[in-house]
Amino acid sequence: MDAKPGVQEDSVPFSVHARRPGRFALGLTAMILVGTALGPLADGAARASYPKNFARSLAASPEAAGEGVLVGALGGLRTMTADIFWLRAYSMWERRERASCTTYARVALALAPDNRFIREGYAQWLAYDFPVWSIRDLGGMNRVPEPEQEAIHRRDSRAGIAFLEDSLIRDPDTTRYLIVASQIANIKLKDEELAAGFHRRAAETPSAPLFSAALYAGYLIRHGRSDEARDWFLRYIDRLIAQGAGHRGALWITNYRSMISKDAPEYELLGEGIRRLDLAGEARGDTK
Amino acid sequence: MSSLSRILLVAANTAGEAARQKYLIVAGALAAAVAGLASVLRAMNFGDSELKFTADLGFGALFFFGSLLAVVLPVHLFFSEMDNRTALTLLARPLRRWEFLTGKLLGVWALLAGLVLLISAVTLGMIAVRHAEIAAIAEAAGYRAPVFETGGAALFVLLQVVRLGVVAAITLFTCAYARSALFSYGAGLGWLVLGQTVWLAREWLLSESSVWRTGLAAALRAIPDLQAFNLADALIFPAKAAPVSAAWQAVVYGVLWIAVLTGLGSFLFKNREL
Repeated sequence: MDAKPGVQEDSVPFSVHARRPGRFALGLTAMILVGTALGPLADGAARASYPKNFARSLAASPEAAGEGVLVGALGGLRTMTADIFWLRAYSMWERRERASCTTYARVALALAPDNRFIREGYAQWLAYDFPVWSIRDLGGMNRVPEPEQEAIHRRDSRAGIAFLEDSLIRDPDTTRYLIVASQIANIKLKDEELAAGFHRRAAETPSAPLFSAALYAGYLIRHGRSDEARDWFLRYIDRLIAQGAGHRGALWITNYRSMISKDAPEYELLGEGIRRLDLAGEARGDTK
Repeated sequence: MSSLSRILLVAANTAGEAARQKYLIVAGALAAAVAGLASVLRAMNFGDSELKFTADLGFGALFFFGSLLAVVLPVHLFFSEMDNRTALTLLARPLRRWEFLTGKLLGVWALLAGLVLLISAVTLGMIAVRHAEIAAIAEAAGYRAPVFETGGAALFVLLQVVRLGVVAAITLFTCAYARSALFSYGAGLGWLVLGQTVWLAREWLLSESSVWRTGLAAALRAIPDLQAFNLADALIFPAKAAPVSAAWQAVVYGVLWIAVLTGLGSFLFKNREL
């Protein structure tokens, strides 16, 4: 090869390598054959290292592909990098800058897609903080007409709930997402039915929080659906017994019942639940 | 002198020469410092367990600096032999080209293994100490101690040694046919990025079934899947049964790729004009 004047011999362009197609094709074919033979050995380990429910997230949102690239490219350092971006998002939160907050939080989430703390925090910003800032940017509560303020609150609260629903696609058994969603539905949207639905879903997760079950049953009773409430709540109790969580469940319910008013719609039903749990405990020979 | 002795001689010389490189010392010290800083930086941790944060930071530093060195060291050492014409002198003696290339790989790999052991000792030492403290507090409060599998940690360290061996082998494979160091640096880094992200491409291609998608996914098998070695959480802090057999399969996968890449590289190097 003749080197061009002024071009060092070291800087050979790629075209020179590409001029040897025979050897290149041979090497590539060999590597494909070897890779096909060896590939199954790596599949189990590679799958065990994927982010949680990655295939489902990828099917639901193309953003997951970006997360995958970051996971692959940064390895363990992505956790630390995500924390730095989340801190930066916090500093923007202190300045009440919605756009910057969103950007940094989104980057943090792309770096650490499984981080529940960041997901929960961002959903709460969306629902509680961002609408207030938006109204302030439009001139403040005294200038913006009330219907418009309400519309902004509703829009952002729904965005917070939608974000939590997306998070549940990735991590379906995360009770915290459902609890936060029910709080947003209740406090911001004043939508009791929506909030009760989230409590029902929370009570059906493996950690099955008692207060969610009690609140859902209370909602049904308040809306004249006492029989449905009783059936559903006693099935919940039976599930606790089947899971071997009966004794713990009895303690929870007794404690919870002592904190609510005797006039609460679910008070009697909780008593029935305790009796059923006690009976199951006696049948097993549990000591109190 | 047997073939093995000649390979070991080249490996020892390569390791000795590599150990004198300042960038290796700087990168090693930086990686150890980042790993050691976990106890200070854990105040910045959001949402993850403290032990996981320490592991992420330490092994993240190893991932970053180790990968860079696994690309830079082979290219630098290989092309310094070429540029200084010492390779000609060596190969004029009864030293076969495949022995030269294998010795180069073993020398670099030994040094990278030393780096893995250093960073892993710092990181796992910190995790073990903190785990003992947390376990004592948890026991006193009647809670379950967090999981920390020492056997899984040892297997993960082995996986990292193999992973860096694969990166070094693929870089030397590139050096075997490349004419310039610059091309080899670029191609080595390219292979590294592809190896880390090929799982994503395959996952996307196989998410729907069609002939071209399946064919392309099969062709991507030509790139060693480096994601198979990123099992820190699953092996060290397993939430359920640790994927031990899958990890051992990944070790075999890596070692076989190293052997194949060295073989292919030797074939290309044999036909190369020096």
